[in-house]
Amino acid sequence: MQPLKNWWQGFAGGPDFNRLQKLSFLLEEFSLQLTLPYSNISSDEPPKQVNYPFRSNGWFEQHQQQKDQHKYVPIHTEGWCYLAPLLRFDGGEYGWLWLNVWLKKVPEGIDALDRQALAQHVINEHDQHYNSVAIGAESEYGLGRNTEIESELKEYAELRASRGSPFTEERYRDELQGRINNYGYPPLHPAKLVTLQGFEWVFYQEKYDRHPTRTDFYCLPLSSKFYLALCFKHRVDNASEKSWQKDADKAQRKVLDSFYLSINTISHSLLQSSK
Amino acid sequence: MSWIHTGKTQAFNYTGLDKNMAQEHGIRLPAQYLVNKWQLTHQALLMLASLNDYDQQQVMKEIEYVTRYPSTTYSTKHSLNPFRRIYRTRYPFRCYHYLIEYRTAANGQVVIDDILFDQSLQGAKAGNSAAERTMLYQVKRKNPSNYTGPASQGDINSLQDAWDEGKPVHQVITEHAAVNGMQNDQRKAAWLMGAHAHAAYQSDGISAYTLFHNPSDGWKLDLAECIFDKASRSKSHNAQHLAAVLAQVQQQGKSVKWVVHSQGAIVFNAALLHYRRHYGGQLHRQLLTIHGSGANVSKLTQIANSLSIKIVAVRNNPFDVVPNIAGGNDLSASSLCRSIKFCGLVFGKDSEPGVSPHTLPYLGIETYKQQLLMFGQHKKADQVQKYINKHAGKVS
Repeated sequence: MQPLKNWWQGFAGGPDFNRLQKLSFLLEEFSLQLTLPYSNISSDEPPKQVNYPFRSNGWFEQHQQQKDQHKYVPIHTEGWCYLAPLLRFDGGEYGWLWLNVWLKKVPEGIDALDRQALAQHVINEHDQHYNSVAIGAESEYGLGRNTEIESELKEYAELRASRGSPFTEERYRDELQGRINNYGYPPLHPAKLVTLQGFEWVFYQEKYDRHPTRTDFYCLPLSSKFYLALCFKHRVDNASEKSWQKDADKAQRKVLDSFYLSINTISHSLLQSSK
Repeated sequence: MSWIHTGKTQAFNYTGLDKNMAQEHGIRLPAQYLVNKWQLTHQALLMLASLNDYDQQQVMKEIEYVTRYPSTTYSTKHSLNPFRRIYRTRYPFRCYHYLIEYRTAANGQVVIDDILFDQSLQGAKAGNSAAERTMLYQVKRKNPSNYTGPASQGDINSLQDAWDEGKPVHQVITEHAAVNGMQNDQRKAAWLMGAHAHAAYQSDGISAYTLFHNPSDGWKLDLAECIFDKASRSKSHNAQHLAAVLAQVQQQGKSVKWVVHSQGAIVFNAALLHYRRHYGGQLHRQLLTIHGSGANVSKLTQIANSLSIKIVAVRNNPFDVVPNIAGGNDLSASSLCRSIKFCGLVFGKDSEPGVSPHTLPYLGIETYKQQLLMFGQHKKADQVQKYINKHAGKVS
């Protein structure tokens, strides 16, 4: 029956909500619970950390990792792969849905509890990273990639002008825009506030028009300095296949519905009194 | 559009392209070429000269079209004729992926101003894999993740984000280059071949490589392409293109370390045959590592040796049906049995990510056994253990 079902729906794999795991994490006074389907990706998982004392001095800096512009402490990663329904050649992977749960910190001068400020910050963080005047060396998270594209084009335009074929201003602008749209990092759409599970979240997408791969970020402030980010990456490996992408959207909503965050009031009041 | 008219030219510094000038700049003129039918600026001449032979021929074809119809604004990017796509030797698109900027002189003659990549035809194509072009991309490392064996979910996730999407380039400008296998969209090929390049040349600490992207046209046409490259005397347009790239890097005196995966090995093999027939000469500066070869390794080694290419390593999983059967590398009864037992992990319903012996780089039989165990494929892991025991001379 399963192959028939796969053929009918147009894909195999993806999260199976009949096989669920409950995950709990302690983030100081916050207790975070997630109910997730088991992953269908073979992996070697290290022992799970459950306690994240993020307010401790230097703890965040000691445990932080970086990917692209994001500096974060990873709390949990779970992925589900979608595959071709029947015949699979060379893996036959249509795409992947990844959930990353991160703890992130805002820079000095930004109050994460002010959601409008947080919404502005998450977009600025992206734009400032890729448009940075300083260009990172190889494997430095793409720092200043747009600046690098611009300086390469400038160099090319100067060479072209010296050979008697200068760009017009308009043509130069179009070429630059085309290059940034194709392999650079154009600006993101503004973040917005959404209400889910009784919390007000800052929501934004890292998505570029050139490809359906995208990451949806849901950010929830925990304190004036720290916030929790639920990041759903929809990695599209076969752009011609669409049916699984709808299923991944549905799965994302179901995972969000399972999100539960509570505040341990006793430890919270103890913490407040000790400050 | 694949060309734009940028106005009239008057006192421009342009020139015709005759036999002498073409020879001086390493441009092979088409057989039907009419001297002085079109003119080139210095910039366009140097750009044309910097392209490999395959690109040059395609661009000159396009210039011929522009010269014939200088006022046309119509450009069809994709062929509507399905037979054009089945016959893999022919280029499947009507327009090439270069943008030709041209002007018209007072006498109506076309003057080519510049030749650049067409921004609308490069890179990954949202929603249509079949519209991707065979192109070279410079792929830079973005995040420091590598595939070194069984990994956590976080590591696998990071591995897919380790490389950027790739910037189109005219030439191989890195020390390493890769050719991907079938059913790889450009974005997937960029990260997967990054993982393969790292596994192939681990001690080099690769920070950027050039991807020769072999686009996917769906599995049926990809298979047809393999058949063309293996059986037909005239090779696929991908192989012809790669042969021109190899000729160019050799001519420029560049030493390039190549890694080819799956169908990439078939394309590379066909490219070498095409190179020998159409370009000639040795390729002694090129090094090659073969992963999950869809081609017959002894035949590929033979032709590579005849062109003085050094084979650095061959990494074929003994349980992988692609090198064993499709590549015809091990047609023994035991290999046939192994391949049939495990072919479900490559093609069939059990081909979940992480357990396929084909997709990710083969890092050794023990690593593969570990991966199977972690995924709960205990029966398959036992079979791998039996194979290990047998080949260590201790059959239990």
